[in-house]
Amino acid sequence: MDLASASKIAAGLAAMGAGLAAIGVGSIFGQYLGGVARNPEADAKLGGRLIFGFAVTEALGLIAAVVALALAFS
Amino acid sequence: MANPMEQFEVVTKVPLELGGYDVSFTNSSLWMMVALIGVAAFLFIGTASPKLVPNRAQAAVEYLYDFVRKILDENVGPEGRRFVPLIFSLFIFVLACNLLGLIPWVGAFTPTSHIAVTFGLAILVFVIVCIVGFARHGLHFFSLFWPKGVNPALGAFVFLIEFLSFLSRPFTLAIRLFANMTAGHVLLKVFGTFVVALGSFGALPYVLGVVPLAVNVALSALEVLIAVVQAYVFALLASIYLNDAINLH
Repeated sequence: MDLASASKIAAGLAAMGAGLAAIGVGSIFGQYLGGVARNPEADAKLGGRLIFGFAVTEALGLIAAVVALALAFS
Repeated sequence: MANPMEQFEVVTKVPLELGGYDVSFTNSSLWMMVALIGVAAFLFIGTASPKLVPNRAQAAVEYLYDFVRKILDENVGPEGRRFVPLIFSLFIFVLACNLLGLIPWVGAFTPTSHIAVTFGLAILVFVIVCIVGFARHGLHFFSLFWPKGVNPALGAFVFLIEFLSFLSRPFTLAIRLFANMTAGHVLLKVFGTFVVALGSFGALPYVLGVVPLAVNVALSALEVLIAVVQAYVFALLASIYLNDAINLH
């Protein structure tokens, strides 16, 4: 197998990491919704942490995406 | 399909050299300068004639300042006041650079989509955190990594892990920002090529191109949100790291 084909296949495999990050992001928002549904006043306190938790989880998924892009277009 | 990574190419506009180093003025420098001029104009106009009851421009500047001050108050405490200029500069520079890349048609370039720019900012934060930590606590700063109330063998192991994760902070800070900007803009370009591809369908030109165009509009709105969120997370993490250095937990 030559390098060009191998790097395209590797790009496709690397992009699967984005799906795992999607599970993490969904979990964060789900827990936030569960918490606010039980205690609506917690919305003010949890809002900032929601955005922060989303950003740090999304970062890991985007690292996988950037690896995939770098392999696909190198 | 056209290469969506071409939009990140750094193009030299005015070649300059200083002592053997290439310090040319590039499109990256141009757009960072545009960000600087935009931020300076916004802040000057907002604080031009300050009144007790603010007009709209002043209220906008006050909102941003309060936003950053609250980040520092919540995460660092009263000692954080002296770092408001630093965190405010980082926040508003990253915000301006992130948002500028979304302007269509003028050939906009996102300076923060390059690891060189974001790593420079992250290393700046890391060095300042180290300087503040060592100036305030001396070698006692290393007690930040030692877990309390565990036996020494496990403690040494956890110390090593905590130390390595501390060293990885500038890297995660830089990669988070650069990856968000890069991936977002690549996605926009890919849907742009879909618009052209579907729009040039021979039997029914232009009509089918509206669907990816609508998706592109929604994605641009998402990208504006992500630009703001990433600037906020950069400033928030910088203040959390400052809290680690100042308050040692």
